[in-house]
Amino acid sequence: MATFFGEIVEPASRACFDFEEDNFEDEQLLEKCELCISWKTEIPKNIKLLLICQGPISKAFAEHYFIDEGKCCGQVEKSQRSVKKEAAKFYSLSNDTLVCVATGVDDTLSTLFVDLVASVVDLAARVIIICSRPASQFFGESKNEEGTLRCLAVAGKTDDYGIKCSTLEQPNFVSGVSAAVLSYCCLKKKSACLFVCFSEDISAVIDSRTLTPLDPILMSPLLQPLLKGNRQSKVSGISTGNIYM
Amino acid sequence: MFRNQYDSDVTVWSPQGRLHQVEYAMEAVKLGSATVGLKSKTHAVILALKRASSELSAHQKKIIPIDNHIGMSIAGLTADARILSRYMRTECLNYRYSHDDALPVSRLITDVGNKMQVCTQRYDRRPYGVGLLVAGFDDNGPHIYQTCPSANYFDCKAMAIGARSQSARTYLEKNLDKFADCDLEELVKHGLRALRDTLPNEVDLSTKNVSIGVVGAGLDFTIYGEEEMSRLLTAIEGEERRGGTQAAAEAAQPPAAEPAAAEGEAMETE
Repeated sequence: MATFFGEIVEPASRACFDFEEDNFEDEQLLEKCELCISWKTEIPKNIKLLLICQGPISKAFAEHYFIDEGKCCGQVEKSQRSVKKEAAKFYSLSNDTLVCVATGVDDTLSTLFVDLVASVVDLAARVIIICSRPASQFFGESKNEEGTLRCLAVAGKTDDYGIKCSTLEQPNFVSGVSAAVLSYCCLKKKSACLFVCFSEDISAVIDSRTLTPLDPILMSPLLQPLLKGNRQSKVSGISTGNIYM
Repeated sequence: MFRNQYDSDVTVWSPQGRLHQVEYAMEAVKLGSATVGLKSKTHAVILALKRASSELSAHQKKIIPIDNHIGMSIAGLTADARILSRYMRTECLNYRYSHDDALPVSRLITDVGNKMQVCTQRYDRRPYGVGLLVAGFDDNGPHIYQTCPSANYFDCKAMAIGARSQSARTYLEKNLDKFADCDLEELVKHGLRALRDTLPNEVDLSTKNVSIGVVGAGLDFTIYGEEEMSRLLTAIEGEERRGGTQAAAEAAQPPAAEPAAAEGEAMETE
């Protein structure tokens, strides 16, 4: 209630706001979290296609169709307070194709991650980013039970990906590593396309129906030669334990 | 990260008149495995897909007996389901002690709905994150009731909830007119077919991952054993699923591209 004309009186709050202290804590957390990349083999000098997968369904998609575990050529480790965790892994599919599975990189570290892998992205002629999000984050009417696939591409760079997919409509948005990489490619005017799959499935076992929304991506002539011969019928996803029955 | 500023508390309305926390709770039901319920003139049947939390553990029980004439299957948070089942059993026991008779199913469902509603209107509680399919038989015949975390409940002829339950509901809708006159075995087979439609092609129903509960005229609520289930599963083994020849044709064809969204433009990345 204003006591003078034009004066704004903020209501009393039981919460105690001290912005200076909050910022200090955030800075401390960010400083302590570091990413470092290590390579087992030499990075190819020319990368025809860089495939980045973020999210459990994208990871399962890559493992199911492309990745051979034995061909890991590099990894990104996240170290926080002397505890190291795997944040991302690089796999070499052929002499000119790299797959990066980045499931351990938080949204808050996405900029750091992009800074770290910028050199690899710069070498790539084309970048395909695949990410998965919960279906509840999708604002739209055209929802399929198994999942919804949408895409975003760098404007003006429309190379032949050969994938028919609807553009991500407003007010949907993408965040995290996927968005950071796409933004970087946009800045560098590099050909890049992001595919986001909104799915309700986060069960412990991801099966062929979970991966069905991503099938249009397999039609790309860039990815067809990279498909694995022997595919496992079941890949692991997020373990929810026995919380949900 | 919040989707909006009105979803942090169940007691906060959004400007559009929505309670986001209640809606989020309804998403939890979809994280549970599928369960199907259907009834005829004489029997009510519930079927559930069981899930093993790890390869070392057995498949978890999905169908919970409540009383001689009521049983339920659940989809969602295990712990919430346990609390609700305990409440329902207590209500049934108290009524049987007081009235020397079985609690009418509709009355039990109303009590459960009222209990669940409290959690959608208090700042210190959260909604129950579990959906129930309750099968019962009383003086009014067989019943299938569905309850939601929103505290709504529905009297159904047939229903499916849980992950990928839309496929099961599609089957139930197509065959709805057949259920009323089915005998018990045929009713269970319809339920198994509906449940099977929620599975991918490479996975099939088995005595390990399916649970069947039946109740009806002259039949107390019973959960089928392995032998009976095996016989029923064998009976539907050779049948094609999800539309029959259409499903087989879909499997043979390359994956179809997704149709353009109504609001966005379809983009061909070329």
